[in-house]
Amino acid sequence: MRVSYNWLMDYVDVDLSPQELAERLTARGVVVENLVSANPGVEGVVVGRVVAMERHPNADTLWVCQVDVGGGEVLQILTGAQNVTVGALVPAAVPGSKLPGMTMGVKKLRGLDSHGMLCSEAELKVGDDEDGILILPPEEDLEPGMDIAEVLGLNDWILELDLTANYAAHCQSMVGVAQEVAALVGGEVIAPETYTEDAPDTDVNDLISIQIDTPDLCSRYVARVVRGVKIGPSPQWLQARVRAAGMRPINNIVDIANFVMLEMGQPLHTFDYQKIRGQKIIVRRAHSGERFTTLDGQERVLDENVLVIADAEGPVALAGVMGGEDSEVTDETVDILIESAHFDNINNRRTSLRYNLPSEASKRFTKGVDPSGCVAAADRAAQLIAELAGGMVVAGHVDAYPRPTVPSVVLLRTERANGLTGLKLSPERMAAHLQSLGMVVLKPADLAADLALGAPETGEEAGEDLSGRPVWTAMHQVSPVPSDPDAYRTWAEAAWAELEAAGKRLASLMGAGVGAGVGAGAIEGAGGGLVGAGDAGEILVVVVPTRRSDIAIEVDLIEEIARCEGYDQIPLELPVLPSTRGGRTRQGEVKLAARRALAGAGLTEVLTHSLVHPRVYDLLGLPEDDPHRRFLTLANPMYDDRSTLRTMLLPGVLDVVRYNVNRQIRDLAIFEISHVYRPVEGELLPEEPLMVALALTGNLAPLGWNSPERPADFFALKGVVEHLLAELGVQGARFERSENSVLHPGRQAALLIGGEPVGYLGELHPTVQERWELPGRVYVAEFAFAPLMDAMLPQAVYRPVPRFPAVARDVAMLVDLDLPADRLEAAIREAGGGLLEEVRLFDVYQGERVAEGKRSLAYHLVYRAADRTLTDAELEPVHNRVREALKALGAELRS
Amino acid sequence: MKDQLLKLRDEALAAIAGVSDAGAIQEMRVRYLGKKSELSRVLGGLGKLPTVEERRAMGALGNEIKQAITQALDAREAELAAAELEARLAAERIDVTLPGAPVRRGHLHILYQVIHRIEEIFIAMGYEVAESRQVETDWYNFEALNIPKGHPARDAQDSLFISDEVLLRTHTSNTQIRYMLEVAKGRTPVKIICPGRVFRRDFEDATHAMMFHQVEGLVIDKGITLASLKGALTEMARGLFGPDVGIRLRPSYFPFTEPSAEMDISCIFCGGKGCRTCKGSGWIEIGGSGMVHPNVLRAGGYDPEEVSGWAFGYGPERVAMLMYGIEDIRHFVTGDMRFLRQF
Repeated sequence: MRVSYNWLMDYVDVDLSPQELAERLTARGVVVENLVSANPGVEGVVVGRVVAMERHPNADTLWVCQVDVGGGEVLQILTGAQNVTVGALVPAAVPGSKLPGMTMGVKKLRGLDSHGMLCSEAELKVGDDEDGILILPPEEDLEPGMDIAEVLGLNDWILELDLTANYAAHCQSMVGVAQEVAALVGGEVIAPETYTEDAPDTDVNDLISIQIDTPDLCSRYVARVVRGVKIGPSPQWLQARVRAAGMRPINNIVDIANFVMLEMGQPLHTFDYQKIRGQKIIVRRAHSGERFTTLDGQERVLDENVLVIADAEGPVALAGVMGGEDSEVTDETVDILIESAHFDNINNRRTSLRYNLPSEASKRFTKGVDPSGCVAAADRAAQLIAELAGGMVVAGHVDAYPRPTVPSVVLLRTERANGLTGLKLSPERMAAHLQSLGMVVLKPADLAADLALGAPETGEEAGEDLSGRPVWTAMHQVSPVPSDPDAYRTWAEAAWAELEAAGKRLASLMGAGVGAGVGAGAIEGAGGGLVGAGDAGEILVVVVPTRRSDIAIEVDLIEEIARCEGYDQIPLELPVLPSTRGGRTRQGEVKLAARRALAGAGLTEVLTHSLVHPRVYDLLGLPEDDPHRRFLTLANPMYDDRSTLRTMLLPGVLDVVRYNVNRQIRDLAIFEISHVYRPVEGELLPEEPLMVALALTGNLAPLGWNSPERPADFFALKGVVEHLLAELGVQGARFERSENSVLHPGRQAALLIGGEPVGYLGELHPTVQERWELPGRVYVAEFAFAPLMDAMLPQAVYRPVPRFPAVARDVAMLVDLDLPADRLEAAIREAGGGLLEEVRLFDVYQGERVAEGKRSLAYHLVYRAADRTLTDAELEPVHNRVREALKALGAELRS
Repeated sequence: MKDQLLKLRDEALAAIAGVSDAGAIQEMRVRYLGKKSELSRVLGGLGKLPTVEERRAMGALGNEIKQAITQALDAREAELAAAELEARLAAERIDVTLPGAPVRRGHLHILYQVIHRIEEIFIAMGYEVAESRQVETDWYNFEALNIPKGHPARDAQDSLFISDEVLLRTHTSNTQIRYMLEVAKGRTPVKIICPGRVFRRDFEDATHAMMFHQVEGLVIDKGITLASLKGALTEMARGLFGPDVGIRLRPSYFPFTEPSAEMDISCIFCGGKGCRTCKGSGWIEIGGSGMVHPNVLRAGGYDPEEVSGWAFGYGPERVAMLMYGIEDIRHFVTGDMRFLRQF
């Protein structure tokens, strides 16, 4: 919403600069996102009157104009524009004046001097038109020499509002913003006049009837007619207003409709009355396949989802979105039908999105428009049309209002307002704030009085006696009430129901003290109703204008009070709460420990996208039936690359490797601990298990001047996994040869915890590596996190620090190549028994010096007894058992 | 004999003074002091001296000379050892300005570092960290948070849907509801902080991401007020940005809170005087907050007549970007080592 400061000042008398106003509104929740000068840099440009013109002797397209620039001065100004006529009022940028980006001087054009230039809309940056000179409307109050910036309304500031959803509706008009200003920073609202001078002996009902087939989509339709108008350009002040709001002046009728919308928030549409067939307006859903040409010349094919305004023969407008070509106001139009209606926001938004027709009108309907304002807006437009375009206003409105909107009656417990905000306001101050927002604040006794009189006779408003009914009266005052008798009857029924419902709520609030009684009696029973029962303190009965559709319950009022008082007035307190033991969940703790362990081991944590393209599973070469190919797909993805939820971390981690390798960062050690998403048969929601992924490639340590290269390999990766398991204290982990098609068949293992496979580690298969466009070998692991958590020791197991010396023995042996090392180690440990403290493999060799099919392994064994020094005599039989056990596995001992 | 002894002494001392090799010292010790040395031989003739006085005088002289030679040898040996050490140390001199042997340094992701820091601030105040699922039902993500179907807030948070009923959560607020219903189950106080990953359907650029994170706080108890929200947020802001930072609440709108407030911190760059980052206002917008809407309390199984609560939420990406001057939100997910290794 763009708000012209000068224009706003028409509706509220406050003495604040634009800057001060912007600051104070922002602090109160009406956010002024930008405050910009309306003047793009026009300075010293004046109104000029063309007094004579002739063709340039040396150029066919140039005109030589004599321009009266005021003060008796006539300047020769040349122009290439072809729309200038003698007598026209034009912007004259005289020598020394400034246009956005340039300063004017005297310039020779084909031999003749031009003293400055005449300006187009585009040159003044007030519009897009760059073909012709901006011709000012011939008005009496425009004189040569006047400052064009003043005339065009450029000496102004624009407040660009960024409105939150709850203020969006009632702040989308100048009057609405003025009401906010008055409430928040003070000042009186000056409402626009909405009377009309109706032509005698006319009745709009003779000219048009309204039929609403879809009250759910159109709750109200008000029509007025103005006859005998003359279409033409709007006066300068009106054009300036329309421009200030960022819209384009079209003609007096369209400009007035837009002006009233901007001023009062009610979108209007104007039809050429003569083009409405059958003197009838029908609001209905379109028929499937119905065709209709909108005023942009596009033929649209409609269906039942589209709400149309039709006449006796067919659609004349897409309701609240765009009018039709056939019924558009043209230069020949003489009779105007004004539509001031209320359309459903959701349906309106869908239609405007569907046909890609965003407009100021549909924007307003989407955010919500107050149906109570329909009549006043129609009146305002009718009167302005009569004033600015001539014609006579036909008496009366047609007002079809099948679903009336009535003021809400909301109860406020003042104690609760202070209790929620931490403020300490008196009930009087709260009431004053609410009143400043146009609400009426009454007491429970008032509501009781209303209820005691029972439902009013709701014949015609004029005949109704409001006296003795304070709440009922307020409901008539806060927002305009329909004057049409039928419309009023339905309004009054709904309003009384609202009042009664408020009475019931009040009775139940006071219920504890008064028993089960509901209604007037119960309320009166609570001590005259002036003060509510118990902790609630005083209760205020608040009647809310219909324009504040965002206010429905008590906390809504509390927010308004806090906003008016100022959030800066809320004291700052530390929460006084029972002390609680804070902390992470166990998973959170362990996750953090794992992250720290991996980072401590020199790995860098990465964070990859949860959304992936499903081709990643093809790149990995996963078989068609691989469970990782069962993924969740987005119904409305934004990008193909982000269209499904990952079922594994590996693709994201490999992407990171490729990204960095492509940027010459070839030595990588990375990890990620994050969630994957796996659909579960028969369940609405997927599992979201936490996974750990690792990747190593390139050199392990950063290269230095004296450190040897140590390329990543399987064992470096396995070492990281073992480190993590050790840091977490995971018990019962084992590695087993595995068959995973993503990995090198000879260099991969499954990680088992408690005998159950939980993931894999290994070298990426060369074909996968190639498909992923990775130049070097990459070592990757991915495994589930939860099993690690389940297998952790609760804490480290302490053994006393040894007091007696250890005895070391080395064993070297030749074994068959396919005998796995973990079997040898297991045999050593078993045979070594309680005295064997440490087993460390310190050499592995295969090659020339050992026989084909064999390899040499050497272990360093450390024996120790906790309570004595081991003697050779004691050790020998134990160590011999170890040697025998190794021999039993086929080892040929070499030492 | 005396002359013989004195000559021997002078000879030995001269020789010792001329030694330049530590190894030769031992040799000389043998040569001048050993059993087969000239000195031993000469002193062996003591017995042949005629008088007791002469024997005593010569014996004393002999001992004197032995001592002198021993001292000279020890001194020379120490001198040589010192020189040798000095020479060795001089030879072992290195260029200490050469770089040290590199150790591979690991890094926690900067975003998680920031999230951990936020968690720590609240844990110290007795908050529990709660997490919940990212793929969520419409009810937990919207309905229970007072965002019924057709509510404009649904448009503002363009969602990524799996089906009509299931979507990627658009905020961490689902954790509020899940915690209330599944963990707290009506117990008070509730004091939680909920970090997590969220998703929106958005174009991706330097300031917008489809996937980002939020940290949300929720407190429920009897008598909770906006004033204590201000207090908790101030603690948080100071924990993150330093003791001089202030906060400001501005009225705003969120469907799940009423009253609602936008929370600003005083600009950490200019201290509130106004600069480019804060667009001259002195304040930087951080996130949203407010008193939990009665409908949300009800959805979580609490009676809004009995208890009240507040909640707040903001993006740790934004906090990290402010703290370090990071210019592009995409850095967090591209995995560029030139970015990640800086933290």
